Amino acid sequence: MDNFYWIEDPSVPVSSNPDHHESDEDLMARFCANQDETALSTLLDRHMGAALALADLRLRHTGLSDDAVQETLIRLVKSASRYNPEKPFAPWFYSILRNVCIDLIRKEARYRMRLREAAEVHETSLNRIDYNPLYDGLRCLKDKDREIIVLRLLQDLSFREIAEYLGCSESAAKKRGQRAIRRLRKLIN
Amino acid sequence: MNCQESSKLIDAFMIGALDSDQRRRLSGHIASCPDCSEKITASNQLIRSFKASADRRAASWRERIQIPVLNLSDSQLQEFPAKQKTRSAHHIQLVAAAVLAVLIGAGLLFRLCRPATPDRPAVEIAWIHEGGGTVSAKRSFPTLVSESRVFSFRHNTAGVYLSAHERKTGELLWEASLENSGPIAADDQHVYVLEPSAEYRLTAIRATDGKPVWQYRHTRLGSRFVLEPTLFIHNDALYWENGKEVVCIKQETGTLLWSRQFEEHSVRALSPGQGDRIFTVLNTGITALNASDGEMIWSCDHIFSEKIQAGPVWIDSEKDAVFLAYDNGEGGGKLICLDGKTGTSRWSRETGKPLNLTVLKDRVFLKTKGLDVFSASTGVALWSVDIQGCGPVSENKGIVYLVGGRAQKSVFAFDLQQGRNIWSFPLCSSCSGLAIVEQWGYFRGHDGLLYALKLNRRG
Repeated sequence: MDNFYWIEDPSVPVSSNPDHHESDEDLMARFCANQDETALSTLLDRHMGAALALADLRLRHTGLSDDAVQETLIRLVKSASRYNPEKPFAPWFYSILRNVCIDLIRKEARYRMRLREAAEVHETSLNRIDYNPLYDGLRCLKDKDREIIVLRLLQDLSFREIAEYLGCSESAAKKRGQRAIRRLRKLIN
Repeated sequence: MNCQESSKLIDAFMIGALDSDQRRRLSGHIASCPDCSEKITASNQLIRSFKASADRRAASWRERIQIPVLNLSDSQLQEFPAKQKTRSAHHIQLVAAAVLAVLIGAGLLFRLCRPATPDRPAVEIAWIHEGGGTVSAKRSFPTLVSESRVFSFRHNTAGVYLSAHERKTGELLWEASLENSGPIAADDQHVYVLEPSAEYRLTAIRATDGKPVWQYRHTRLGSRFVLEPTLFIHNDALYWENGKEVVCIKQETGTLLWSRQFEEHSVRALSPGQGDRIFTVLNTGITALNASDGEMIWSCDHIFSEKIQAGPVWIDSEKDAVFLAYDNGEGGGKLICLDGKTGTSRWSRETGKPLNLTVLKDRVFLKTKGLDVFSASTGVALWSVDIQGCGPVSENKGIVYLVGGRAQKSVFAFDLQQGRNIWSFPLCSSCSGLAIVEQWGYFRGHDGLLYALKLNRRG
């Protein structure tokens, strides 16, 4: 059985198959054109899990990350007219989320206060999310490393899309991903 | 490759960072190394659990935001400046986002199931499994369901995967990586996959854990490449056609029982018959073969004129009759019923241009521009509906289920006797047909998700 192999492979790219289903870009274009809520709904279905995970991991408080994702949706709707459908949707969307998270952390004093409060109830707050051991390891990674892993595992983004999001080359994103997963392995072991 | 090298590659494999050569070498090692195989399994479980946690978190997020529905217009949204937000403006924005999310996430997520009565929906989505990847609308194989499991293909740029799910919960039992998708057949112990490639590979996979039991390889004859060959189980044997020959394999061991080549006449369709016979359609007509040895029992030649020899044909059988539908090359079609024992004609009739044929419950279901239903005994037209479906028609307890094509992405339920539309249920994705067992329906949408529907007798 030379060519017949049996490996479970959940981490495979999905977004680079535009022929096979309506792409994120098509959905966003549809939403921009006529405010099609079903298109936006599908986009949310696809990205909500990863968006919340990224926000949770960065902000470390479920209340804050809820706010961050909501704010991201607001910004997405408001800036829909500025979206360029020729560019991949995912890097644009997650960039908005990242900016929102950074805003929440750095610019709003009231959020910093809440963040300090959150630190005290940190474990309780995050344990309620019911994350598995990967979560603990991911929290200890650098932001970019963590984002690569999360976007690959949860969102199946291609390395090309991740590279666009990180602002680096595809090969650099792949190498960084390999290093990140090795670090993560050490952390969770 | 040794285990040390394998360990280095496994982590990169988990995030899909291996090239095809590395992946193939790793796969070769995994197949023969239980330790490394266990590492992959453990990593997969960890990732699956991580994904499940994220899904639960997203679901919880939607549930927690339970607020009254407000209708915020675009102009109201525009009133909120992007910068220098006030607390109230920010609050309203959050509320607006929550409303948007609730409306979109909860209401439209399931595409507004339209129940026939308020208290008992005709269809409920029992579970959805997100496998990652998509399913080609151009070339895909329908989902197959056995007594306790659902088998389905998914495609993506990394390859083709066959997955098995627990039928009532959707739990992923195993997933096998293949080189090609192909027709599948299943009983409750095994699932059989025929991969058309440079050669045909028929593999028996244990239904419980996805491990291969045997594999049979068959050289492809001629230049014709059959993208979607037929495969079925009949009398403890597996049968398939590959354009030039009909092949019979022993179901238990995977050994060749017989193969029959048709040098001059290409094989165009194959169907199991009653008892010890199978039917095959050749370029010239239809032939009944002995299922045990492939010997010809009868042949009904010269059915097709030269003009229509290249067109598609469909064959199905029920009881002691065999049914054939073909395109007449003039925008219409013909439906023929032959006696399965002798090959003599029972009836024939002109039809619309055929697109699929299914025979069940003494009814012939012919897909043309819509769905035309005829009596299998007499050929009399019984009823028709103006819905162009896709995939085979299914039936359960007097209800006929039809999945609409891309233009009508819905499941339709009809009364078997009169064709009365009982209910329809909009789907969020087109698909290649619905697999029905008891009152459950399964399909892999072209969006890549595997759906399980609970079908109620009455709405």
